[in-house]
Amino acid sequence: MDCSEVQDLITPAIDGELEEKLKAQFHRHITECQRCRSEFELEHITKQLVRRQFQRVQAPQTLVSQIRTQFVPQSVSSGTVSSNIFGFFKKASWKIAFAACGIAAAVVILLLLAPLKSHHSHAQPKDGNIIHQSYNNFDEVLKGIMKPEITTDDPATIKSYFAQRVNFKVNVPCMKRCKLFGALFSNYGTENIVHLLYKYDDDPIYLYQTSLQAVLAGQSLKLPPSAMEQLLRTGWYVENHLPECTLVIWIADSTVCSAVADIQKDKLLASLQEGE
Amino acid sequence: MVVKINKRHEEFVKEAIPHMDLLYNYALRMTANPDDASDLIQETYLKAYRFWDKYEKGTNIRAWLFRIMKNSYINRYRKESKEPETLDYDDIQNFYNTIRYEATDPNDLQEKIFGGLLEDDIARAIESLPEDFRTVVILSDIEGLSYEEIAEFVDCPVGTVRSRLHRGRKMLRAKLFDYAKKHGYVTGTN
Repeated sequence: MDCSEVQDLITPAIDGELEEKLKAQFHRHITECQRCRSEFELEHITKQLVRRQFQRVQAPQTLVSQIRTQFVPQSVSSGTVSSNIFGFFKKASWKIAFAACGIAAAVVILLLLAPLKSHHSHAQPKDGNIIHQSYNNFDEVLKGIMKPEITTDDPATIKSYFAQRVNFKVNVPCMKRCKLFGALFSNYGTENIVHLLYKYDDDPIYLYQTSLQAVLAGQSLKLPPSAMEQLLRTGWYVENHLPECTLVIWIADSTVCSAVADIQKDKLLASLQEGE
Repeated sequence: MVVKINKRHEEFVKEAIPHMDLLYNYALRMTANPDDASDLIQETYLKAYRFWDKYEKGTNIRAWLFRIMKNSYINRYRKESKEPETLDYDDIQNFYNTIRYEATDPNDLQEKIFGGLLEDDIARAIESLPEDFRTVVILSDIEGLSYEEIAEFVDCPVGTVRSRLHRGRKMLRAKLFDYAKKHGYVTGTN
């Protein structure tokens, strides 16, 4: 065993990951060769220092209980099962059923279900982080807990629905490949929130909007500082945690828009930019 | 519907919550701030819950949660990746060799080289490591994970974990030696 082979084994030797059959040779070399030995000892010292400095801690109890309670399931009324519109998008079997029944049947179902009631109590999570709210609301849309109050593909109708209720400019972008589906209004504290739903082929896109002023004030609604900084600097903030799920936040006029969809980042961005 | 949501919730709490300590420790070392670490954990669990259907049952849940957290971390704290400063890696080796004969055991040596360092110095040195290197050092030296598990966490071959650990510790000790010299605890050999 020469020095270069030994150098490669120093790290695994320190971490207890050295193969059994190499141990004897390795230690013989280390005792005989000063350069390799000091390298070994120095790395060992460094590991010990880090270890001693940072004792493992337990996650704070408040955090643990906060997270536990965050996921207590909300009760869902039995009526939701049949009216779980967006749930259809998630299930392949429904897509097949759709094809079999024909689009006409789907239209009938949608007509029967409209106008849909909103469940304001479910519409907002407790925390004012816009990113959390967007994800949560998107989830509730998928589960059928959060439903549009009006269903239409006409931007003018949606704008007039919001006209009397909202104190900022509502953006109803026309996006390529996307069809407007419906809208819902709610309040978070004293802030007005606009929820728009689109369909991208068969996938839903959820679009959240609120006034930039409210977000800048950071009183009830807010963005994490780094997201805020990026948004103000570049006009965009994008998160893409799994290849098929994307969140995009941007500013249009003086409105903050946040879109979530189970669509690849590039596709969603392209679609949103078409609508600019 | 209710039954389904309840079952999902139960599963999530049972499988994901027990790993919070591991994630929290990592978050704390990466952000160096308990509030930021808590925020990061909250976001991680929120997203994990949301993506729960995409978690393949029976695969390594710690690695899965870790990757979600890593992505959240990168999104929040991504900085311009700066080249590590040039450090003199041989300096400490030379110094070590000159003092080694005076000392009888490694603890004594450690005391001679790094004894005067403050806790802050060590924290600062770890923070200064480029992210990929810092991650493996934390996972190995603080969390005590095996190479195989670290490889799964950071999604790279075991060989890469080993070489990052080696280089990471090398940068770290050069940095610490640099601090020690600046503080005047040791007088370098040049």
